[in-house]
Amino acid sequence: MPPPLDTTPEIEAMQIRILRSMTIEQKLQIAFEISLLSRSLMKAGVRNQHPDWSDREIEREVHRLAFSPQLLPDWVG
Amino acid sequence: MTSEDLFRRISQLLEHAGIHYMLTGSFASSVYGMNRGSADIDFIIAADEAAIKRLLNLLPEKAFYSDLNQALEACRTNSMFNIIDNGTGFKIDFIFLKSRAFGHEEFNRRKKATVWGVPLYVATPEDIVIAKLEWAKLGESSRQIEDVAGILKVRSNELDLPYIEKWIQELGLSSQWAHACRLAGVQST
Repeated sequence: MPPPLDTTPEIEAMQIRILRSMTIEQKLQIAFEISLLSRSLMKAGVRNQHPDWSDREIEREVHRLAFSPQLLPDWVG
Repeated sequence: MTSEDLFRRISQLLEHAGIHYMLTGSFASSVYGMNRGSADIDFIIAADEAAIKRLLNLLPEKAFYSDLNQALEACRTNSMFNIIDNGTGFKIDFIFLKSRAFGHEEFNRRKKATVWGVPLYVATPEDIVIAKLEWAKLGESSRQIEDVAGILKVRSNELDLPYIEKWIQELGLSSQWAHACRLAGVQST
């Protein structure tokens, strides 16, 4: 498998040095924030596609996209 | 809810319910390797029905969605159940400890860390590597292999390779291991 095309070896080495110097809290926080960011982007995409939907409908669709192709129970959103 | 709030809360709930656990999956691999996001936070737990009832009783009803019947059924079938943090939408998967040699060994090797002032038990990087290679073998997404490659890149000098290789042989994971090593640019044995 070829090396990643978007990262030079120098940058990757720098990234690895930074990751190795981080605390567990910092790493969990970053993973958490990346996840939240991806969720809010998903939400923005759904809102863009369905401008007439309520917040609750958008929330339900984001849950559905993230977790399950099936219909969700009423408690979601 | 912040990451601090969520991890502190889950750790305290599990401790108060008397449930032994460890963080695994993509959040645990982010601890050792490259960061990536996920909609799930995965915990392996060792718990009986009484402990599950205690845990779900302790969950603040407004803050989390949970289903006691689903959780008890998962306990009886040794599978998994979920709760959802209503504030962030994070799904927390509780996976019951499997009664097989690797399951017990990875659980016994888990490490206690302290995060935001509370204990958090986390699977070791070696065991995350093995578990993710197994998921990759079962046809899970390429992210599993990428996560393993990330751990190899960041932790290659610290990993107990003989331990990993023992389980690679035992569980038939050689081709997934070779794939991850190629991706990480390290030599596989």
